[in-house]
Amino acid sequence: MRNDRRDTVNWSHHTPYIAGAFGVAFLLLGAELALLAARVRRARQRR
Amino acid sequence: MPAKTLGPHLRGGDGISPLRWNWLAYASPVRFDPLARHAAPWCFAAAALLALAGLWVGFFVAPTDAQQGEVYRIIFLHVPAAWMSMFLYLVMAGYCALALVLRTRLSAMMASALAPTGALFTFIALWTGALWGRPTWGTWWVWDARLTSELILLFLYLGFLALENAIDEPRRAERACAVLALAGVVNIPVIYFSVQWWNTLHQGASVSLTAAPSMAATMLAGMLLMTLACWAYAAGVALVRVRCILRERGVLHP
Repeated sequence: MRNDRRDTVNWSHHTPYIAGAFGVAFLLLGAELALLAARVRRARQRR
Repeated sequence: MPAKTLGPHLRGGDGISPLRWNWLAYASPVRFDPLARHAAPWCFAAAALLALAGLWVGFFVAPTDAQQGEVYRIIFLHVPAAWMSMFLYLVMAGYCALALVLRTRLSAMMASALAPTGALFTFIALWTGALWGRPTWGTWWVWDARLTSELILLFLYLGFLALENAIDEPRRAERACAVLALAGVVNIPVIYFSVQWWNTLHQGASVSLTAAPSMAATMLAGMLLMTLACWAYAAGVALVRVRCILRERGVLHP
């Protein structure tokens, strides 16, 4: 058995946590940008 | 806008020092708006490039943590988000203080523009912390001083936004929100020093201005790149949002 540190890491156990952290965060940041873009469009249409 | 069309307090001269002239010139929406329009795309471009570099270093260059394994890589988002949550609150409170003392409406609008992004970064810090805590601490949440004070920060941001929307008259809303934001500043040192003042499950600071970092250089590089990316993103969003507020309140026209 190789003495590789990656062999000791349980990717299947950790991946959902990493994906959940980064996925939700980037989704929220993307949602903020989308809402801001909609607000910019509304502000431009104001007379 | 030509300087001669601005009021004497914006033009400078007449016994006003150059330092004060600069401050007041950019408190004028007509001066600030073109600056924000040009700066915002650069901020977003910088944010995208820095985030790509930070994620690449974080996921492909930084080594696996000897104790935690791969899950520690949440640090590349958790710590920048937590830093930004505190930093944006301080900046927001600073603008609120300017709005109260100098009565510059643009300062109050900047505070208003920063609040949603500050709340978002606070939520991201709490969310990523929960997802990091579960595999390493065995729990999503504990009522320890660091986590609880960060949750209070989220409530302060949400309270600021709620108060702003609850008062119809913008001037009154700005003053009320400024007082709330300034009162909440006391929570920032509590968050920062909570791991020193109390015995917490949350670890102490790995990065300090006065001591050498207790992590690998590549880990630190990835974290700092992501912090700069978050900073550039927040700056870009705040600039765009404040331009919307200027138009929504009729200060400027499309």
